[in-house]
Amino acid sequence: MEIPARNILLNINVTDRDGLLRFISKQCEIFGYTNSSKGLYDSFIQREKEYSTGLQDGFAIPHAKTNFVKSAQIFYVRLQHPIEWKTYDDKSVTDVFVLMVNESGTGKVHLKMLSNLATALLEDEFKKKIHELNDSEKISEYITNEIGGNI
Amino acid sequence: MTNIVGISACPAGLAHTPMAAKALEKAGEELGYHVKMEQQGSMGPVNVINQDEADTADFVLIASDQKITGMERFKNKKILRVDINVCIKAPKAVLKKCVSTVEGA
Repeated sequence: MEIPARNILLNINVTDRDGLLRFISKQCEIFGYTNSSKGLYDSFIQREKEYSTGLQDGFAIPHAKTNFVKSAQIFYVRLQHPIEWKTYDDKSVTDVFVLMVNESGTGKVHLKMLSNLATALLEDEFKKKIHELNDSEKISEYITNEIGGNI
Repeated sequence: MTNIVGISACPAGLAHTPMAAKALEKAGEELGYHVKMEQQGSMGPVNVINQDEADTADFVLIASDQKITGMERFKNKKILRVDINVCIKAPKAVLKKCVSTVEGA
C-alpha cells in the first residue's frame, strides 16, 4: 500500500478534534475511499469514546475500522493551529495520522503497515524526520518507505 | 534474568496493540529483562507465546482491558493487568513496578 501524496494534508485549519475528523471523513468521500462520510465519522468518534487516540509530542492516531471504508488508507494531517485532544503528555495536537480499514476485507499487508506506522511513532527519529519535511510528495515517500520496508 | 511474557490487545486492534508490545519489549531491553509480548490485534495472534515460554516466565503482564484468548496457558502463574495506555506512555515504569510487585509478594 502506497500512501498517495494526496493523503498528505498540510496546513489544515480546523478548530477541534471533531472538526478534524469531520474534515477527514468528507475528504475520504471526495477521494472515493468511502460512500458515507457520516458513517466513517461516527466510527472515528466511537473509537475515541473507548479511549482517546492522542499520543504525545503533538501526535494523535485516530482510526476507524468499519465497512464504510472501501479501501485501507493512511492520512497524515499537519495542522496550522494546535487543537485540544486528550494526550499522554497533556499537550495539544498538531500532527495527526489517520488510519482506516474495512472491518472484514483488509489484507495482512495493509494491517502490517498500520502496525508499523503505530510502532514508528514510538521513535523520536521518525517524528523528527516527518517535521523536517514540508513537501507532500517527500512525506508520502518517506512514510511509505519507513512502514512498508520490512513486510 | 527476569523473564516476562505478556499479551497486548486494544479495541480496534490496529495501533495500540503493537505500540504497547513494542514499547514494553524495548523497555525490557533497556532494563535488562527478557520481555516477550504477544499481540492479539487485527492480524490475529502475532508473536505467540508457547507453553514452554509461559511455563518459564516469572510472571504474565496483560496490557489490556479487552477479552484475552489463551489464558489457560498461564494456569498457576502470577498475572498482572495494566492499562494499555500506561504501557505505551511509561513502559519502563510499568515493568519496574510489576517486577517489584512480584518480588515483594
